Amino acid sequence: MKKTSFLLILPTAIFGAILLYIVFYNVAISFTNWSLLHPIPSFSGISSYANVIHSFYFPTSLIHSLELSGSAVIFGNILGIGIAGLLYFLSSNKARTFFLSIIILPLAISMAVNALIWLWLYNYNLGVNWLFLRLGLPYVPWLTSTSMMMPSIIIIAIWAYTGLPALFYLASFLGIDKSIIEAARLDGASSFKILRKILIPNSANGFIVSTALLFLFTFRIFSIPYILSGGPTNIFMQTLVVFSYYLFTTEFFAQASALSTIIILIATAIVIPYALYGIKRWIKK
Amino acid sequence: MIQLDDITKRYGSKVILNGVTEKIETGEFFVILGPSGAGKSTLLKVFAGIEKLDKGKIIVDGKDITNLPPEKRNVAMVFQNYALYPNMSVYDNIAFPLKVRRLSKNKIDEKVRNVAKLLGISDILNMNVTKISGGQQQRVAIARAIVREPSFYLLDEPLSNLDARVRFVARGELKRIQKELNGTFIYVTHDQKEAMSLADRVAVLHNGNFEQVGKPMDLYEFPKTRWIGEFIGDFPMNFLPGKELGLEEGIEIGFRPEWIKEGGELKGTVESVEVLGENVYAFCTVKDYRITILVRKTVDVGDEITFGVTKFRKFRDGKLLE
Repeated sequence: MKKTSFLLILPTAIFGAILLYIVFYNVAISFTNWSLLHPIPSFSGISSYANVIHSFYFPTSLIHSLELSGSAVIFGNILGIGIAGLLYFLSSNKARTFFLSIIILPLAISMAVNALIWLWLYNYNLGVNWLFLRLGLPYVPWLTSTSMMMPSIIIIAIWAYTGLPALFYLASFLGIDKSIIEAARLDGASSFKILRKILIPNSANGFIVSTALLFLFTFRIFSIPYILSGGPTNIFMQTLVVFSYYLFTTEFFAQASALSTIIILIATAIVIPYALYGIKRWIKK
Repeated sequence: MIQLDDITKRYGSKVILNGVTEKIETGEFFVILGPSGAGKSTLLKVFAGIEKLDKGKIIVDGKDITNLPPEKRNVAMVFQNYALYPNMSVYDNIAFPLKVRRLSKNKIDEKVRNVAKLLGISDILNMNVTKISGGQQQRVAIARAIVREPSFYLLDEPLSNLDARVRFVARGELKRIQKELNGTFIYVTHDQKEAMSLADRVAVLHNGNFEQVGKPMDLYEFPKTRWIGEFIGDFPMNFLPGKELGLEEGIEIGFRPEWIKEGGELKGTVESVEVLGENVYAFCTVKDYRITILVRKTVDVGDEITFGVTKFRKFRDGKLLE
């Protein structure tokens, strides 16, 4: 029994070791001064971290990243619950599968392609504005006004990732004993009331998984802000990941590594307790 | 009064209910008995409105409810697994149907506390429903059904998840509650002991139809068909060709294990023995027929035994005569 369990964890152990090696290598570089000016890296303590944090771009890109992930978590959950609720109360299983596949379709498309599609949709004269003109709505300066740049990115992220919470909430809803829903119907509850009083309160697992994944996926998102901004120097769309890439392209290797480490730490700090709690709940069931 | 008129339900080409027709009186404890897979739960869901009918009508107190959705039927159901709302306390579970109806807070509180008193669960009202025992969960489920005073109650094997001792007590309790409320209970079970001890009338569901509807004792004494004779009773009714007792050709006789006297014209060999307290049931073969009889003395496997039939029913083609 011991031998077989050892064999089973072997692949995971190997990949884990490689991953950890890369992460620690990255951490090791972050404590040096490696850059264009110092081609031969030498240990320099936390100076790279200090330089990154005190740079002008760090606070703005951190705020942008948190804005993006926070909005994705909030709106993703709300939309996910709404969509899962609508799908749950469809009486036909075929229709449910059909609509669900449409909603998770954006997940299957490469984020770079998503970004290009939306670059067109956000064109000032074509795309969404073309539709707005026909509907008598005012033009929106999607990518041309600095105040609309982050919201534009957030909309894409939500559009791309809402399928995920919808899927997890639907799975949670369908996991609830059918007779409980029948009992609520007999008690006189409407579909909306059943959603609010029974389906949502009993879907804590769906909430935990959705929130953790929405945060992670949007926090590390790169292609969308990179492509929509036209490059890593547009600070109005610069997220932490894009900033890290910018430091790398300008050959501040140690600072790029330091920023990557900070990104990993933030993501870990938020996601790991969540994931542990979620797994514990799941196993208890 | 509830009238069922030609209730028909199919799943694909499989006919589950095949023209069930019956009248259930107000205040009656009506038990639907049948083996697993006979369509009992489907029939209950038809009453509730969860399952749509292919044909037929349900009329309650002169009002046709066939096409009403579940929430408009004013029917309460107690589910086999109780179907309590796991995110709510006992109090909130019982109050849920009232809250949905937008009753005032005081009115809800009064009703919930009255029902809790009736069922003896006043002291667990603030507990979470997942933290209480099976017996208590069952009472909460019944309380939730009672609290909104429905026109009738549906119970889907509500005692089957309880252990034997608790079930026995709960059975008596259920009957007491039904009498106190004078409610119409439609109760589904596969356990004939439960059916016999609870019911005013029992309907036996077989092949998608009520094969026999009657008082518990009538079912035992006068089974309408051979199938019912074999289904009802701790041991199936015994059947022998009539000519063994000198009756005309084509007639079968059916008799219960206790409808015999020891010593008589029939002779059997004991194959196995079951002792239930003072009663000894001997499973014998009589000329290739398997017969179960109740004997007063100790018998052993391999013994020869003679007996006579003191009481019997006549059947032709599997149907009761007279």
